[in-house]
Amino acid sequence: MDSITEISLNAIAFYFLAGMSISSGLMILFSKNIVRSIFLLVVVFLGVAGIYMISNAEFVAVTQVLVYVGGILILLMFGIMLTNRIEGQALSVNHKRFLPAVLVGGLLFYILVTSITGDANFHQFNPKTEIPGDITSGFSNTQVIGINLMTNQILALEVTAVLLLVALVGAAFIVGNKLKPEE
Amino acid sequence: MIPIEHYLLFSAALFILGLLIAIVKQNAMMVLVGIELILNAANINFVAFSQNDPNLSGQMFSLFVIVVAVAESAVALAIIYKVYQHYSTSDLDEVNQLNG
Repeated sequence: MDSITEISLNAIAFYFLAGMSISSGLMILFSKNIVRSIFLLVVVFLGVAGIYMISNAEFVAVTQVLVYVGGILILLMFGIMLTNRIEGQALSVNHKRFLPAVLVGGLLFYILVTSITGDANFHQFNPKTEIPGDITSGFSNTQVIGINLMTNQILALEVTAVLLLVALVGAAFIVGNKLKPEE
Repeated sequence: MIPIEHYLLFSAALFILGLLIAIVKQNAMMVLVGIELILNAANINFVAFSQNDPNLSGQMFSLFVIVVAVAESAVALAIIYKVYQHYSTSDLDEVNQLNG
């Protein structure tokens, strides 16, 4: 009885969060105000983080909130403050190319929906158990991720660390003013 | 549980929204927003399919995707700032030369 109510609560939360994310995305698409679009992006990212939480991916959900809501959105706000400095003019964005966008997007969406709901038979991948980390090892999800990062995925972890360092140094080098040579 | 098709439909909708935002908007910053939405849609698929996997490979991959997205957006913002300094605009249709 308990598990049944929990499953239906999970389903209700999933559809609520999905609807919230998609409607916020549509509002981003149709809004001409850049700042409002960025703040609506917060709602989309939080909805996606909630869906990760429902799907037994707590660590990914927390990373999503920390990195996207805490990092990328601040970065985007700073970018907008730095690149739209025309005095006495509202921060707005023009829309163009509506017809090709609707054509391409509608066609691609039709193809995706028909292939997902069609013959592909995705039922066999339906989640079977509540907590995948518990099947073999008895560890929780976050513990399995930590163990994986330090054993199987150690090369990927190191490469990612170097990539992050190179990207941030490169960004600082592109933007930063060159030092004047000493007279 | 929630059937996997619903995850796939949700991520397809988010992907199309990101694509439309990247095509329609003229400001370079909004194109970046669309690309972030596309990366999130890919991550949802990874997490959805990793629900059956005891090794959690999909969740590992989505973590690495998040890190690469951060690096990409930092470099993209630096480039957009430099382009703005040079052209005094961030409208992508008016940036039509590459020799800096």
